[in-house]
Amino acid sequence: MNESEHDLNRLLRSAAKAPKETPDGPSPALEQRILAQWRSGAEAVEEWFTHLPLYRRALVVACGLTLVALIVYFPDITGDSADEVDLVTTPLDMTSLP
Amino acid sequence: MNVLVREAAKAAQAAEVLDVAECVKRVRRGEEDAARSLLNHLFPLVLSVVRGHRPRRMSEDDLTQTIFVKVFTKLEQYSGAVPLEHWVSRIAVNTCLNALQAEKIRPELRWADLTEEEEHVVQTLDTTAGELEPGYSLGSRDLTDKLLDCLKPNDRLLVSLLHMEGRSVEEVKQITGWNISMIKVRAFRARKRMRKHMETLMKENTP
Repeated sequence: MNESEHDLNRLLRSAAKAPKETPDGPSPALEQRILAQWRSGAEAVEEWFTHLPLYRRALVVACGLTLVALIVYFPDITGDSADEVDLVTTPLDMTSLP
Repeated sequence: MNVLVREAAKAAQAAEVLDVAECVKRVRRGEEDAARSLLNHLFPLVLSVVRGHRPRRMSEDDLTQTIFVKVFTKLEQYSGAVPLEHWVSRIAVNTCLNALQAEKIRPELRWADLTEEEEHVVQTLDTTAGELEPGYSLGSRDLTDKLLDCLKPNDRLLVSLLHMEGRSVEEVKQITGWNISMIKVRAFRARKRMRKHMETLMKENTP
């Protein structure tokens, strides 16, 4: 076992021995809060972090779709439309008619 | 005596008085007295999980409330196949893990961040080879908490369960639902990261 591993083990063993005072019961205020929320029939407080993985996936999918849309419609966005070329060349074509 | 053993003994004593199965049935019927009894019975267990795995910025009471309301509202799903305490532990650990995952900042630990007590612990670790005196245990716990803050939530959870709470790999598997080899590999890597942070601290301490 190397020295740092030994030190870490000593630290963790010492930390595990630290006294942890746990009160026997919740404070009246906390007890009331919990029971009131339960009585109200509310679902557990689903903090925003509960849905965080879903939000991340949604963001990735949205970015992917945006990228695909950009690639597909890039020519339209840059304005290199064939119609515009046609429009410009139309008078020339007309003059070359017999 | 180990804190967990004490908690288990307390819970066992309380269980002698409280008929848990009956109490669960009454809570499902919506009886408030039963809910209060169950809350008091499970409180030390939930609080010990919360204290071990709470994100720094979240209040102990808020997290405890979230866990208990989850327990009560999901009590219909409890089949009774495992002891209620195991089922509640799992809910508590998963809720704490979700809260930890939301806390994105993993601070880099520096010598200047340590309290005087924690500095003594690092210096003692650096200069001695034997076990630390009992007087260092509080400083060791605070230092360990700071080192754990530098880890990813899953790694932090594992080190806490295995080393701070003294749970076996099998118990960790039951609580987290992860397989044994994943637990071992992840615990190994987490310890390696903790060692790196400790070495950095020790180097900073060396003149």
